[in-house]
Amino acid sequence: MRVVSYQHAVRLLQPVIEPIFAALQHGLDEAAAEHVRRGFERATDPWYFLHSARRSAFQRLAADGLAETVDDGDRSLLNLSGLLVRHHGLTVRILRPDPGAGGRAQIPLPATGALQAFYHQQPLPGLEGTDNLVLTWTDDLGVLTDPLTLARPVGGDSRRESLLLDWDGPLSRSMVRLRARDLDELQPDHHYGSLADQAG
Amino acid sequence: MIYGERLRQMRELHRLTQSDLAGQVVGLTQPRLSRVEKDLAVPDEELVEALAALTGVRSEFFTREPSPDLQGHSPQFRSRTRLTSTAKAAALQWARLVAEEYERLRATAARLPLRLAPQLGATPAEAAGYARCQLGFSADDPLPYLILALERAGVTVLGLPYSIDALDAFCAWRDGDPVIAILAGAPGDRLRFSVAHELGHLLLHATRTLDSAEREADLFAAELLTPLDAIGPAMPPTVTLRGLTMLKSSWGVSVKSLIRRAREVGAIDQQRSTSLYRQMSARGWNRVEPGYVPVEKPRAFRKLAELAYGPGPNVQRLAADAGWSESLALAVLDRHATADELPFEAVGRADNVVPFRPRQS
Repeated sequence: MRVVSYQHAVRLLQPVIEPIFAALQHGLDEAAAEHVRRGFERATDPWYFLHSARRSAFQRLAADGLAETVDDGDRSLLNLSGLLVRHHGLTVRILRPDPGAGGRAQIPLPATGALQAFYHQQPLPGLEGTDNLVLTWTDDLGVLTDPLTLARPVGGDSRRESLLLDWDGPLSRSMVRLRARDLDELQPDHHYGSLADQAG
Repeated sequence: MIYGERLRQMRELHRLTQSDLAGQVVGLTQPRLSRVEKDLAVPDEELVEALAALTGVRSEFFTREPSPDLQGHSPQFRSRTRLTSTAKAAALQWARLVAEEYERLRATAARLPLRLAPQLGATPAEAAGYARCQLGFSADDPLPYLILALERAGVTVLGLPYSIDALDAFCAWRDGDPVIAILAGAPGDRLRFSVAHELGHLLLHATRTLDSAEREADLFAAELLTPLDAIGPAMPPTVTLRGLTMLKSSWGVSVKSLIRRAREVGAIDQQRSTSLYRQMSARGWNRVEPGYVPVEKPRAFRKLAELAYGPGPNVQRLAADAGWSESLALAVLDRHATADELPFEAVGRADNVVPFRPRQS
């Protein structure tokens, strides 16, 4: 099995960092707008707010070809354990940690068998040789917190002490800036230096 | 004194008939407009101002000698469905308009040397190998980007603020320069294939379009983007739509073309191939496929404008010198990448990456 490092994972995910951030913020905005429209208090049902945000974020990611559904016979269902993004040999589950969780507790525990298999890096059919990663997100009063946390789990079950990570690190919006070299050879015929040079 | 040809250019670019345009100007008739376009009648200043405002240019635009028609450079069109003559004429006029300004801007900067030459006797696979080498890519890795690489190799790539369902791109040799024009609206994977297809025409075919040219250009595009020797080992042991979607994000080509490639390298048989196509259809993937491929834009036009008019660039000055309205200048600039919109750098090996420090626990 391939084992991707933190640095390499960031490089592989670089093209989709901006769409992921944009989709999550869009989801938060849509959820907030719905709560205002219907007179809901977020604190009354915090999970509804998050589910609503996740649903809208999915729509945005799907429009970019980034989010996938789970096949269930004739139906195509939204993944219940977070958003699922597959890109460049990485399968990334985008999860929301429990409210108030910090440090390693930011990585949600795999409560279901399918999620535990994912945490143990078991591949799905057709995705052999890929890496499974977890990306967690939080918000502060409806504003997406930057950075997100990217982690490569290698084990875990419903007990916190069982959680095993290969590595974890930040995934920040600012990491999108590493661009391909510009047309550096394209230079003007004349380049004017400082006024002093021209005077000389 | 205006050039009637300039007026025809802007009318065709907006897909207007002479009656359509005449109907929008008080006192102008179709016969009179026809005479103006043929330089048989001289319009007054007020009419020229009205026509300029309607077509998105300044009145002095009509007084400039027209550049040669791209039609004379035998452009190669690859349309997915039947292309109407008005849609084709509009695409050609947009390309002519942007190409003319591109040439004017290029006169202020040093030219990039052309590193690609026609390969008229070569097979599509041989030409694709040659192109990969000339573009600076290895023989067997995914192309991280294509359009920027073409521009670096001296190909003029024009982004047109014009979109039609039937056409993604077309190409022409123009006074020894290869030109590829890209229309708006195609998803990233389809655009890459279309641009690769046009490059195939430029390298493999002389001015005349042969019956086999479209198929050869398709073969060239498939081999350029997914060389058989490289895509075979990259295929997952079990070929599923899920696995091909993952492969799509790495190679920047559609799932459908990967199914075709999987069949060609023997990773699946005909029955499995048909089954995968059916699954795609059942899931609605024939309309929109999953799998993220960024939409590439050409860069050089905007870069030349930045060199001439400073960072930004200064749209007022660009529009004034081009004889365009500012909204037209903005629309053309928008089809060309800013530095922030450049494609991402090629993914390096694990030992050749920018080191980010892991978070302290």
